[in-house]
Amino acid sequence: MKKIELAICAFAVLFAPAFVGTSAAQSATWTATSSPVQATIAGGPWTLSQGGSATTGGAYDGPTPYCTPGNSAGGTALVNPTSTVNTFNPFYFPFVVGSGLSVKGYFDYRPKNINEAVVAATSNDAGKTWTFQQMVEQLTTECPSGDSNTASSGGNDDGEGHPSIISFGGTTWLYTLNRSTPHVDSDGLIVHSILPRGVNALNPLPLNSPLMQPPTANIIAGWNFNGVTGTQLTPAPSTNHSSGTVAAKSLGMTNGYTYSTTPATIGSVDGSNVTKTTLSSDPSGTAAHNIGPNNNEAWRVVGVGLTGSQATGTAGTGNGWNLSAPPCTQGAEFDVDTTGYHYIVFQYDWYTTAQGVRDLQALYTTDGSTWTPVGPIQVSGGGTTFNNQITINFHALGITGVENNSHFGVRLVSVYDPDFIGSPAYSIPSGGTVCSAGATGIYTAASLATNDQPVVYNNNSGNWRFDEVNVLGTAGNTNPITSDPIVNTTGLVNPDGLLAVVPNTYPIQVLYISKTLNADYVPPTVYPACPASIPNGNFNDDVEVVRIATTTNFINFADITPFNTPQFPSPGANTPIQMVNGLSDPSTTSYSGIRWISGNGTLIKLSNGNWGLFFGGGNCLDGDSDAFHAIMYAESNGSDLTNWTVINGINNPIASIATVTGTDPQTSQSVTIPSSTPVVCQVASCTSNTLPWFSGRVYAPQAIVTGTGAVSLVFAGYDAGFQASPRDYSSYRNIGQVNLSVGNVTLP
Amino acid sequence: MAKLTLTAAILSLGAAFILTTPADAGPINLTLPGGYYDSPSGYDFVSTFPPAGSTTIGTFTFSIPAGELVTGMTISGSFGNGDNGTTALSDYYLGYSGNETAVEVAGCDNIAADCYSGQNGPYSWAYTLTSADLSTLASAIAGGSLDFTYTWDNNTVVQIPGDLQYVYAGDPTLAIQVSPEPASVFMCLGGLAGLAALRRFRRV
Repeated sequence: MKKIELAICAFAVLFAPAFVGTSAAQSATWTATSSPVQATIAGGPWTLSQGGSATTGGAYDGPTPYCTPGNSAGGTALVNPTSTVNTFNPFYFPFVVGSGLSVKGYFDYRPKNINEAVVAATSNDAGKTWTFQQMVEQLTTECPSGDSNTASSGGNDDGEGHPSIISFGGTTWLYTLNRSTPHVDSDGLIVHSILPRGVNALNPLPLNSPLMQPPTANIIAGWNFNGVTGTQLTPAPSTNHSSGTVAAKSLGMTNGYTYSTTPATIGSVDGSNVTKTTLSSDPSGTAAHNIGPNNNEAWRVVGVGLTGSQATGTAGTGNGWNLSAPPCTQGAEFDVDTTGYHYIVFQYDWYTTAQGVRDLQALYTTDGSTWTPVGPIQVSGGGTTFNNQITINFHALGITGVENNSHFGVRLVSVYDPDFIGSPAYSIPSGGTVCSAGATGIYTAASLATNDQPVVYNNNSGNWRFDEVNVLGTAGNTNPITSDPIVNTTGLVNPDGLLAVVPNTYPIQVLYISKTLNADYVPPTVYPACPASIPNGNFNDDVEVVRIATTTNFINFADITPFNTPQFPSPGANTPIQMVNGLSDPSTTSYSGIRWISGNGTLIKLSNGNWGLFFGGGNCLDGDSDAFHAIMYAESNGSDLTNWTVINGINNPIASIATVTGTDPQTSQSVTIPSSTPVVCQVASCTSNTLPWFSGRVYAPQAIVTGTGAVSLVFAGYDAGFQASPRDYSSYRNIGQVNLSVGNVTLP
Repeated sequence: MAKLTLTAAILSLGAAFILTTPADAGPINLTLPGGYYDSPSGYDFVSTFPPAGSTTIGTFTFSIPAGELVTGMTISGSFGNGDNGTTALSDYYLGYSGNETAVEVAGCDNIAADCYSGQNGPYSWAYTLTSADLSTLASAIAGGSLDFTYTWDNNTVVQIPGDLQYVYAGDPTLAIQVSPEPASVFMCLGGLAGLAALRRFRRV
């Protein structure tokens, strides 16, 4: 017996590590070690407390108004010296970099209906107190005309928001969201390269955003294709201030190539036309009450390509786009006489179908016959989506030969894909360009394969479309564009902002928020609608998911998000869509679910092998895709950033807005949300599971690692009074801080 | 009695000297006058390339107290600083005129490392000089001057036209450990003993 017992013990000793080691990695358990406090800022622009304690806000006529002298006298926007310390509002969407006590933060400064700007500040106590460094990219220099400064009285705060940073190899890139209509959640993020130097933390960005410029003041010629139908091989411009030739034409759609139909089709005839396509930057075409997404005319470049059995083998009915076409020979051309104009800028919206060619190169000419590549290869964001307002600022690039030139033109043409791994291999001859006769490679399709790799273009379908094509310049020799021209990311699909940047990766990986406005009714995202929100009765039909993308140059991104299926159909099975799994479900109507997620979260690598993610989110209770119901926490499945498990969700959050009770739309049960005490209320004297200054909204958590088991969480919140009617303007967009600790995992 | 008293006093002084002179006088901590460093120029490694050779960030100047030796040296700093939490690929040295890269003390050599692609820098580094390192720098140490320099790595992986990469370095701290020279101690004790013996001899 003893020998058997000994054998059993030996067996257990030998294999115990194996038995223990095979259990799942333990997820982090967070506890609060301080009460949340509102942060302060020394110096900087006007803050809410300076307007006084009245619910009107006092920006116009408070004790210290937004402008000096203020009131009807207007004046100059206030800039506080660093000796003046105020509560840190109205700022939100913090993005904090660094660890320990000394950190730097980037904030969205946004006094309601008055202005919006990006502000940088530093802290030496991990985010409780801040010192202003610099403000840039402000939307306006105007003073408010009233405390509420409503839109009808000229108020506007839709500038550049949601700042986020990528730091890489001694370079720094700032990304902002263009909130202006119709660019918000449609255009790529605005990309700024910054060179921080001391207090000039946002050097060399200007104080004023280019969004401050009237967008149409300087159009020499442009095409919006509105009110145009049918076949359009050479569409006329919708705006023309040029004194000479202005023309557009398709390229390469009439050809003798062989198309991959069965039997083969020989030849194609240009069939370019105008067709309705959703979500360009064209402001017209939005349906009444914003029920549907904007869906207005765009110019489709394609061969005649008859459909069905007529196309198969019928001569001349090819799709136009073909693998046999040399690079830079297929696409579109826009010619604009710029005589008398300087500081030339070319902007366009570019759409590909899923099978359309993935890569576009812009070319320009100064003599009408020699075409030179300009700017990087543009990469489609996966097909069936616009890349909006891609911008070429010729003067900023040092190309002045296009100014005052009757032969100026731009071609937007297909080129081989440098990302394709296969044969023929991609190469450019020495001293050549992507257009060189000796260039090798192949065209690929906009939509990637299931392994996220490009696939060869199918040689018989797919097309490109263009909208809002504009050539801008000034008649006088003055630069209308600020020193910071708008450059947008490509490849991110309807980005609302970055959620987190994955460290130590190249290509650099990012998690980002993709928000498609009013898409609940539009296949493939037909989801159960939320009932009216509690307590303000709002509705929202935006579809918002987290996606993952990579970039090698900070401007052009490739979306590599896998397909996952939202769980709740309306009616019938849902179609798989590209979204990371496990964080949110855009089809849930449950008050305990997460329907929407907001940007500016934090990713932390944990000792258990998982990634931890602090993020903000919301659901039908809020009726708002701004996703501000709670700060939550999730962990990845090992190193896989596309599969997550929510650890602290809506009902057991890190922090929450005030308790809400209602009947759950999905279960029809009466629920109280959150059902558990939020983590921050373990220490704080919460009322209704919250504190006043974030009782209305709470989101954008920035976790600063201050020890192997501790973080300082900097976040944003609104008082519930801001959500009420009439609105309380005295406490919103507050920056706050709380200390959290974790004992069962180690932080980097 | 007076002679004995004098002898006792001399020996007491010697004992007091031995008892009160610490075996290690404590580090001399130095920082550079300029503080943190941002390279004035950046390079994209496509059409612009950094200079070969080293660039001096600053010079540590110090004087070793008479009768003391340098017994150790540690230098610490950060990749990245308050302006930018990352840096271009680069290596850092202590050196002197004629050999500015005498001793390598830190390096950011991998684009996957935090120093290059971490998102929450700056990232600290520290290096304790070996005996061989101290020997290499002996003449400079004796002269009370050490240059803190860096060289650029040639980045053959991340090459983005127009995307200029800069070197960002945090304010370095040089800690010099010093101790009294052993010969000095013995000479002092020997002198005291000699005085004591002389006094006894005279009495005799």
